[in-house]
Amino acid sequence: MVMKKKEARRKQVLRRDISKSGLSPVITSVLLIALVVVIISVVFLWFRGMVEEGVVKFEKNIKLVCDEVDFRADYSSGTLNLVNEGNVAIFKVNLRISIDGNYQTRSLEDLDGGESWPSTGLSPGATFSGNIGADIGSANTIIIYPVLLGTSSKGKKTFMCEGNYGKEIEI
Amino acid sequence: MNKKGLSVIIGYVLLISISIVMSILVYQWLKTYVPTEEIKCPEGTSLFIREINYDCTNSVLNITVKNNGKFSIDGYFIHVSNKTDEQLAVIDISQRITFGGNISGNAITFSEWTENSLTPDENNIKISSFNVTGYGTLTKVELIPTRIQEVNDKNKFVSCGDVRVEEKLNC
Repeated sequence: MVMKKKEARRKQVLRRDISKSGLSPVITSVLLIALVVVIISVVFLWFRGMVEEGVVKFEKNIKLVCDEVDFRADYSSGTLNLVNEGNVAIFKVNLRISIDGNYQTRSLEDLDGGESWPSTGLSPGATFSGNIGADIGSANTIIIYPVLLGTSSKGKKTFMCEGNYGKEIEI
Repeated sequence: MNKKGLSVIIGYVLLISISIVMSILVYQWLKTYVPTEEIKCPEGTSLFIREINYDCTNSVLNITVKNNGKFSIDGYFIHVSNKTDEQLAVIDISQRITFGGNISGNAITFSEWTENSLTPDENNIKISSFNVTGYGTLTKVELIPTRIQEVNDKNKFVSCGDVRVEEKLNC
């Protein structure tokens, strides 16, 4: 009789232990989803800082628009002439000035002769002429890089078409 | 055991929703890297300077143009030079037109009402006159044809920089 009572008591305790879970399944599911969302957000924010920000123009990456830029340039007697013959507005122009093997890159607008550069950029068919002779001094070559204006998640942003998109002029 | 965290249906709905949202985000991002067709004039577009009459005493420049290509032309950009050592003509005289066209931005259009009005017809010529007072003696004129083209169901103004024509000027 005593044994039977002890056995019944043991089973009762066991049953009570099983029904007492640590956390309900709903709470664990919610916790799991919340945790995953937080981890993804942290990884995304960290990764975004490492990845180059995408600048878009004409609904495509601005690097692709560099292919469509078409301009002519020449330099004579200190005067730099530019004609935009393409269908993309050139927002600014950067000059890579080479003097005896040393390089420096400057924006045309910052030079004395570049003050007349249109504030909205050089639209298709527009021309520019400016005397930059005093600014480039004894330069051997200048490479002209077009700068385009695009949009990014942070608003309007400029992008310089580097590499083969530059036009080199021997002086 | 009957207490489930989330029902199977809700689990599926969440999974599918997250997948769809992520797919849309990735698609929007990747779409910007897909190259699209460059906006340019069709091959076979051509403008011919049939006659130039430069009166440097009265500073009047008359130009007669004809379409000798396969596609209709809307107008042109016009640039002149007053120097002999410059390769580029960078003086925009579009605002100086006195008759034979309309000003549209920094371009000349042949007709205000009809797009691409200069058709490839032997008898279809356009005569324009410009007052070039104040520019000195002009040495060169350059014309860049323009067209109105339908791009993505929208009419776009296109510069035909590839088929630029130039002519030397003599008093």
